[in-house]
Amino acid sequence: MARRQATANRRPSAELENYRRRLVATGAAKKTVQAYVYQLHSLAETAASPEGFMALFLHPEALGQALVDDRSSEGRQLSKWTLDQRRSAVQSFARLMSPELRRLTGREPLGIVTVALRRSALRVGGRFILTGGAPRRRGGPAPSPDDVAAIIREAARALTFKGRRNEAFFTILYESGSRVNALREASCADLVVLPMGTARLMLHAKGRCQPREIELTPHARRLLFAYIDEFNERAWLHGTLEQLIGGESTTLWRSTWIAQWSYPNVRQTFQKACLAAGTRAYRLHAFRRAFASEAAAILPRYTVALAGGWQGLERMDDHYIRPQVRSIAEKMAAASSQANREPPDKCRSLSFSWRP
Amino acid sequence: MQKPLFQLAALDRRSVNTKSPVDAQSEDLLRLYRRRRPSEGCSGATVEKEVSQLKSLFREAQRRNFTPSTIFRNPGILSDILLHPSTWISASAGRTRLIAAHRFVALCGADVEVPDAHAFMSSLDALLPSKGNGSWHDAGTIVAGAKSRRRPRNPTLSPAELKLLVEKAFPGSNYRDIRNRSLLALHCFTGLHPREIVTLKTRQLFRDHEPTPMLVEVWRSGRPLRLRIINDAMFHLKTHLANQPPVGPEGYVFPRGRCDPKPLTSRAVRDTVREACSRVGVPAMTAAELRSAFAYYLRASGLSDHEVASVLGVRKVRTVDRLLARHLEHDAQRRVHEILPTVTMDGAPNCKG
Repeated sequence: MARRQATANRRPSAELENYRRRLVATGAAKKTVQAYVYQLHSLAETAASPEGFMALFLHPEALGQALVDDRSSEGRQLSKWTLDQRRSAVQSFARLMSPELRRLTGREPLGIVTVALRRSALRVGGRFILTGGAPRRRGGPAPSPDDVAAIIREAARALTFKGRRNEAFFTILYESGSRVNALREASCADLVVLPMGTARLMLHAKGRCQPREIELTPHARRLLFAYIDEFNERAWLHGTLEQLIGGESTTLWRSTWIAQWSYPNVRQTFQKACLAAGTRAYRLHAFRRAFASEAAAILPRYTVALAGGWQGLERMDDHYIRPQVRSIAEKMAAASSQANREPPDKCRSLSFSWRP
Repeated sequence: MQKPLFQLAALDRRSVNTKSPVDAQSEDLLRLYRRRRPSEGCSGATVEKEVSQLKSLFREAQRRNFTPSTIFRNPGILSDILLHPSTWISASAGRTRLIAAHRFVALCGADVEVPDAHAFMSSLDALLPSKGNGSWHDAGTIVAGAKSRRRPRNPTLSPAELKLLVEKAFPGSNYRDIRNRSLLALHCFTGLHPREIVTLKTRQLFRDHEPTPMLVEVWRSGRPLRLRIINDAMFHLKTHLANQPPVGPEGYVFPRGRCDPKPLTSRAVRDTVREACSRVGVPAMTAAELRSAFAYYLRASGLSDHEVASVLGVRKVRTVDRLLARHLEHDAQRRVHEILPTVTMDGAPNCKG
């Protein structure tokens, strides 16, 4: 993340800056713009073309090799996911910068990308398969409800307003299945209380320009307002004018009176809570997996995907749902006890009624 | 306990019109275009839409210190304006802008010293990014414009909140309150668009046989359409009609006042809805958001998607899907909340599933 930020902050070349402007003008999400520009930067570094990045389109073979080269500048192997994103970035670049590229190469730029990919791909039948890139790991384990409860309990033991903050934050994280940064970056203006008493949070949705609206459970709402009250009260006692006030664009989750709760700090709090609770050292994203796993054990997957903000079932199925042993055991026990309760006469009468 | 600190303040999202006027040459060209374009058989609304986008193009040219005729003589400048507008525009605005530029050159090309419109369009196409090397029907050029909305979304409203909005925003019994209540009821409990509500005339209202509620006839896509006014809205509309002085069949249902028969302006109606929202304590909702809440209300009442579409007067059921998408997400969230164990501080999780 830090590396990506550093690359994004680097001064871009004129063509990349032009591309970025066009991408923004066509309505791409902020993070998509960041990711594509980062991938093009790193591709330019990998290819190290002396004539500039656009000159790669003059040599389809070099472009193809750069697209499937899975070694980073530090020598690590890149994942298939990274290569996919890089390919999408190049295709997007070819599409949006086509007038300039057409002038340079005299050919259709998207056609050049296709030729480049085919030259470095493996031909299987009538299709092409790209090799390279480490297969993506399918997430880590999902904590059980007991583990979640223990972690939240331990996180809530922190002093000052931080105890209430931790409890509210991790409870909402678990109950809504939201992403850590989406929740962490929420401002006071993103919290809406409707006249009927329901509270909603408008959170950033990955890959989308519009926020995702989550409804807080009464329990989560109570915790959140307890945190806000405690923060405001302590801030007042401490003599600072800083307050959490609805409708204002100030950050909701604080680590000090002014500063936003940073991601490393959230991670550290979570790790300490895992250690204190005596659970496995889960990662922060495990709460999203716990949400998906618990919900999918009972509800249809489509409903879970809608509730958790997944755009399709595939990603959720492959990377988030971890069937829980406890849930399987309970269901099997229930099924066997139900089978034992079946009247034996019914089965017998069915088997004897059959006449060949 | 509800916190007054977090009750929503009235969010005034009234946009400030900061558009600068166009110069005299642009005005002349637009007048010319407005005169010639209807001869091709397009509707007045289309002409106005194109003129508006041409005006935006001319403003962008002014900002870059170019005259209107210069941008049409030099496709490079026009492509730059189309690709990099100075403000955020929607995808449809971007497309309309390109189409308007094409049509302008075709109709008024000679007046801006562009004799060969086809050559101009070809050179413009070459300067714009192409969509891809697809087949003949999906080929095209890319111009600036975002598909998503720029205005932040408001929260979705439940049927109870919709009712609260109508009942509690204007509780008085004076003429204005009754009229405003009726206006709100039509926004919240019918499929009528704001423009249709504003221009609603008495002759458009029909009453079928008694158990069937009132119907309202509107024109959509060049066809008459009879929409049902359900009981929640009908009661308020009837009260308003009984309260106002008798008007003929051509009289407006929502005049400006008892003595002023002219219809309310769209802006006044929008402000009324905003005021109602701020009185009840919800963010300023748009008519589309209220319609979406109404669609969910119908769905929750047991209507099928096709029935919801017919009550709203939309042609495609996919529109209903789009209107209901965020409500369905909430439904899914509530279902998950029902089964997810609640984590409390005093012991093990409380499993509900």
